[in-house]
Amino acid sequence: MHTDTDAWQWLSPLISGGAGVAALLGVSGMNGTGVQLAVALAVLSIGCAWGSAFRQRLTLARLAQQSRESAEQEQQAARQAGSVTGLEQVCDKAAPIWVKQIETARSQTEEGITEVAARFAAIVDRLHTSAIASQQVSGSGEASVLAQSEADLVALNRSMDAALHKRDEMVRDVRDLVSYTSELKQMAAEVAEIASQTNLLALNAAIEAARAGEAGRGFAVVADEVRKLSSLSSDTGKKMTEKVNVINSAISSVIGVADKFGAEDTRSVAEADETIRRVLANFASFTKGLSESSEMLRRESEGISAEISDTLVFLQFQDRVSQILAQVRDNLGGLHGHLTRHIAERNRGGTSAIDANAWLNEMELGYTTPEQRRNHRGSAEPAAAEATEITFF
Amino acid sequence: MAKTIMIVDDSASLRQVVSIALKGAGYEVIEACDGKDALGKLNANSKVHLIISDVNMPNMDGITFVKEAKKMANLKFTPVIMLTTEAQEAKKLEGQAAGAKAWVVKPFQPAQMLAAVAKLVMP
Repeated sequence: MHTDTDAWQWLSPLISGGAGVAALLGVSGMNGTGVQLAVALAVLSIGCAWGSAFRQRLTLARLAQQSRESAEQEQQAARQAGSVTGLEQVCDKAAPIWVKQIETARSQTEEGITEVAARFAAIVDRLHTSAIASQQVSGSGEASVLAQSEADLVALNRSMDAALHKRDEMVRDVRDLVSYTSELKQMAAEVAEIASQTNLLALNAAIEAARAGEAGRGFAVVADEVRKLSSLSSDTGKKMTEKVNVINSAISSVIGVADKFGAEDTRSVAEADETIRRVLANFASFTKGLSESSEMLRRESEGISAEISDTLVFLQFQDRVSQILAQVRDNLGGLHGHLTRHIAERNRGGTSAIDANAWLNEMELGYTTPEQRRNHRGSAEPAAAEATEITFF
Repeated sequence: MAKTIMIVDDSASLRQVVSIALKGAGYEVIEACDGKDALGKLNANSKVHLIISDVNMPNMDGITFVKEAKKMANLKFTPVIMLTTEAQEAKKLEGQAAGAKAWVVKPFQPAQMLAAVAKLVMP
């Protein structure tokens, strides 16, 4: 880039300076003032030459820089055009896929969480039902059932006891019969004695009749009949004694058996009474344990139910995630539509610029959760509030 | 006689959460997945003691649903709680104008929700 003109620019002050110095020295005849002026002029001309050369270099460097920059800009524009076209193509092809991917993720999460929530709901329902059932069992008053059972069993034993007493009375009556049979025995002996006396009397009468001869014949017949009657009476007396003996032995045997069974029955009733009390005591302690464990089960199932309800509260995240993903999905879909229209417009030779701010503003209008708005504005995430925000109108 | 509460929300899991809390407190629950579905499940004889509705739902949003429901004579005085992720004042005012009695922002604690329900439910 060094031309003659460029060289002249810094040579000319030097040449004119040199000529000036020579002229001054010639005119002044080398005196002090002339030399001083000549030196000053020489310095000035050298300075001017250096300044010209410096300016020239600066101009050259600027021109070279400008030319480099414009070449780079051209290259960058070419690169940008290439990359914008590539980016458009990527967005055109990828955006619908992203939309589908997001929707798949969203719907899978929703289905999964809905299913989990439904199962949890079913578990809570079943726990509730079993808690009610166990409460009904323990609450139906095993104490009252126990008291009723005890009353029934004791009453049964009492009636057995009463039957025993009645039998004892009967046995006592039978025992009393023995005294009557002894009287009967005595009476039979008396009958035998009367028969014997009558027989003796009949014998005397027969003797007296024989002594009377013909006159006593009729009387002898009567005496004989009386003797026969006394014989019959004697037989009846013996038979009565025999029968009374049979009756006596039968009564003794009945009393013996009754005494034996009576003792056994009394012992049985006493044992039954004891057994009833023992069984009822066992039953009471068993039902108490059962009631306690059923109460524990009820408390446990209530606890689990509460735990699950608390867990379900955390599943609310799905609703928010779903809303956020749906918004991103719709926005991506919208962007793709816009891009398609933009490409079509450009291919027709027109221009359609995307107003980024309008787009972002519209995007913000679609938000439904505070975190979406916070993310949009890039502000810090605040700690999640523990208490539910409720406004009453 | 158990009181009946309608829950309208497009999120099935959220309906479950609300439903479990309400059933646990002894209420009967009718579920609907959006405003249109809810209106289909209500008629002139519906005895609903309270309505809990989401705001952003497909087919028919919560605000429109509440306005429509309030047109029915038997639901005119039925209290409505809006249950939503929306916490913007402008939205709350829309809900108030539509006739809602309370605005609950998700996520909610069932105990606090039940307290609001108990406060507003029709006698």
